[in-house]
Amino acid sequence: MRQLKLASALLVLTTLSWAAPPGKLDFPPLKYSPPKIERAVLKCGATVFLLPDHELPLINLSAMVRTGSMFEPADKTGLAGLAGSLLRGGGTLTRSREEMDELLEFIGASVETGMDVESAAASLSCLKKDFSKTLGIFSDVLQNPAFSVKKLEIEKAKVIEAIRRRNDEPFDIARRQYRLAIYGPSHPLSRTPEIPEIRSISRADLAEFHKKYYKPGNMMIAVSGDFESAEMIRSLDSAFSGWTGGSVEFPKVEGVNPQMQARAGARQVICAEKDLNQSSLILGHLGIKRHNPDRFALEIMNEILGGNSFTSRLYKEIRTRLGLAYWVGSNFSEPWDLGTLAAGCQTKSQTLGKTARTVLAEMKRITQEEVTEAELKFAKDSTINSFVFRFATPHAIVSQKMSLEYFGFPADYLETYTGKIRRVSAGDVLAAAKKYLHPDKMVLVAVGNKKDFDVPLEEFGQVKTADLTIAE
Amino acid sequence: MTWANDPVKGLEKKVAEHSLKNGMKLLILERRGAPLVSFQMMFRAGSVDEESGKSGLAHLFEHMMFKGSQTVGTRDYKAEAPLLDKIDLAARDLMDEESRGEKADSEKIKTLQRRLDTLEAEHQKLLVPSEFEEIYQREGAEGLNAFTGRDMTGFVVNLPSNKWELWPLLEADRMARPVLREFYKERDVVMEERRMRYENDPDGKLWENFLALAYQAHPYGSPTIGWGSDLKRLSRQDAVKFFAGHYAPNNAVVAVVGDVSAPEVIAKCEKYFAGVAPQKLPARPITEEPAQEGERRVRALYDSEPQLLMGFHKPSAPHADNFVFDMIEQILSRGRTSRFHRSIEDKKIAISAWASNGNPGERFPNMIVFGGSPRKPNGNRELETALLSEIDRLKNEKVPARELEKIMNQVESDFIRELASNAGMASRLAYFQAVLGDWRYPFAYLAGIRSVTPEDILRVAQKYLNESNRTVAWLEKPK
Repeated sequence: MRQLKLASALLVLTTLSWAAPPGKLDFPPLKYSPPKIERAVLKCGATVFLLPDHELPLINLSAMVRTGSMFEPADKTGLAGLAGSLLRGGGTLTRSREEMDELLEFIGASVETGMDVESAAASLSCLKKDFSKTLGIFSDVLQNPAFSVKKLEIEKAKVIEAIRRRNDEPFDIARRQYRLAIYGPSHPLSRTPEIPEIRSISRADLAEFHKKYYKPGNMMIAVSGDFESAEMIRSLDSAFSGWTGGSVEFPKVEGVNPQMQARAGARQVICAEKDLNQSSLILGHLGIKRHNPDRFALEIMNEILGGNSFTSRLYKEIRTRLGLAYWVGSNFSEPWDLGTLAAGCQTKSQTLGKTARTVLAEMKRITQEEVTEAELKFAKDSTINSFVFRFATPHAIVSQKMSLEYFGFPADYLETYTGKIRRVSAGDVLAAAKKYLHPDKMVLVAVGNKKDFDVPLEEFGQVKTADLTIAE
Repeated sequence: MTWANDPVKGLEKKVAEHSLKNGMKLLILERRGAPLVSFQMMFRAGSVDEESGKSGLAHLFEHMMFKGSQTVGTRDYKAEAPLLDKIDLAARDLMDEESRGEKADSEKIKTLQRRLDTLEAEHQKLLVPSEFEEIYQREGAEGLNAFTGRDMTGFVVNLPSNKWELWPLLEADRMARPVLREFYKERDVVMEERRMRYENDPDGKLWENFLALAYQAHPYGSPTIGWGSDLKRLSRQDAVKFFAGHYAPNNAVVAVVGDVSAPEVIAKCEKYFAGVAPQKLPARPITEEPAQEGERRVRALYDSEPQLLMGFHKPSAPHADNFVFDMIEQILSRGRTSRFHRSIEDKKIAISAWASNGNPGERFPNMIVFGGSPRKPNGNRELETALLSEIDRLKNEKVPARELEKIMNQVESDFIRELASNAGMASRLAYFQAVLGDWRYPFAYLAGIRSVTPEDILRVAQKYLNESNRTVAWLEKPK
């Protein structure tokens, strides 16, 4: 057990007194020490993080299993997702799904499972009085899924219909085409299930996926609510007694194609044609991996460029000054492999070119000139002062702790976070922008009615038309 | 009594209710835990309060509230004021020429547009863009936002609780001295929002078509975002007029939930809002929707896979029948044991099928709406048949007692879960006070839903869920 020493980080506020229009205020210091989180290892080998909180008679539990769609075979894209939903949705060896549904819904409780790219999720929520019943189902679902063939067929039918509907919303098309251009067709961050692949997935595939990854030693649990820790550990030990195993042999995962990284000089333009009066635009390229020490400077750079939803340069220029878009912004991702840095917006067909030029100009400017002291100070102050929202609810606190450990962050990550932000200088921001942002080598994706665009897309680079066909 | 023993009863007593001298209503719920606080300010003014031909005004006005005041967002308000008037005149001339449609002189439009652009560029030099948002965010505000509905407009923000006083300072300032600068650029932004949410989005397109058909007289049929042609003609004067008639403290409710002291919040709000005077609110009669006299149908065309909406007119809360409709919504579409899930989704007729009571608002008689997306080879026709057969079951068979008991258990556990969120609680308190005039409604709701009997469901289903009271909208691909 280790006590978090966050209080000092939170107490040092950047402004204690504030004077500007329309008045002057003196703020008292923020007095807050985040609650202690207990960490234990269950008899079955699972790691558990506990935060008792007696305000409401509820218990919430989230679990992460080290697997994810990144580990499914590329020719069975969609398998992990199906396994994630069928774990709960396909019943267990001793309980049909209908039986579980009746029992849980009658007491207003839930047990859910799902799949992400880098992890699998399972969760439980119930009133305290129903915990033992609900935990029984939760543990049964993780250990003994039946993957009923009938339920699998229903779920496959849903996934297939969702594939048929994937070109309905224009921004979804843009996102998919963007990832495809960045990562190629088979990388875990870009590949999407196709109908024939989904049809080929069998119950045996799901059972094998489960057997390989769902082991107690390969799982972390975060639990918050109305309980005492020692009693909770006893309940979890008893619910998972008899479940063993932990070592998993992870398959090799495809990395970013180095050719994609090295694509020199030219911009690549993807146009997806759809008869609309507004176009969707994404501009971006590869970025950084998780744990890159430059991420703090990059976070501030992104905040100033387009990350902040009301005050960023892209917002002030494209939305406020020019009135070209309702939504405009930028972001960066930090997965296990290289993530991406991108900006996006939606604007009427007749201003697509003007908007793309403006986005590119703002990107270029941030790679050429230092941000102003005022911009830098605002970005740092707002990031540091809103840090306390990471502790909004007991369950947010305890599941954050779990996920930081899951993703391999240092134990003092939260304690040192605001200090690292505070130390970012204008020079650091410029260096990060120069190193990671290359407006001339971006992928530009435009979805819309090409004939109405104000500027030929060729202005931005070599144009390729996206194939939106869906194979049955 | 602690929450752990009776979270619901304990809670109602913890809400401090206070009306400021100018009529603004405060609802404060002290909650310990993280040092955070949520604010929700709601005005009982939404798109139903717009005059004909001015659709979209309530929502555009909500955007304008972020443009600052005589002190926020400006380098020199005195220099700005005459320029704002010149911009209005230039915009009016441009709108007049554009509204001549085919007879408009395109050269003249270009000249007028250039004049407006020049004035706006000159105005830019006097502005401090995003200053209002920056003041909040610099201090760590999260979730700063606003939304406009048919019935009301809400402004929300969450703050670290040591800085809660920023809220009355900034809000009283923008209520007392708002400056609706950059109006015509913001109007362009809203047009992009309309394109994004409605014109180029299958769900939005279908919803707009459905409501415009279901309401032929009442303004619930008019989109909150505004019709394109109305939006194009809105002026800053329209917005000033809307503000004067609706954004009065006596038309506002503020819910504050979190780590604050109620007496302190009340005292400071009295001080900051003292300069915001109450106003006489317009008593404008709103056209009533006549009883529907036969089924209405529309097929809207859009390049996407099919989906449908089906709605029935009914009374809104707090009418006793409304509880029955809430129960019907849950029976049909809540969770995996619901009737739609079992008989429509599990049978592969649709990938989604749902029921939603209380649309598109609650200040006036509203609708229960059913919808879904069929799964190939089924289309809208097959989904519609499946939905109707479940509706018929409600008219012909009594719902078993256990099914009702299940819903009550779920509603109760939902209620307890919702208490965990400051913002969620603040939103419920403010919403029910602003729309129904009763923040206690969610508490009464638990008793109301418990009182629904199987006979009530039969009676209500037979009375309202009929063909002649039905509106159906299909979204289909153009051939």
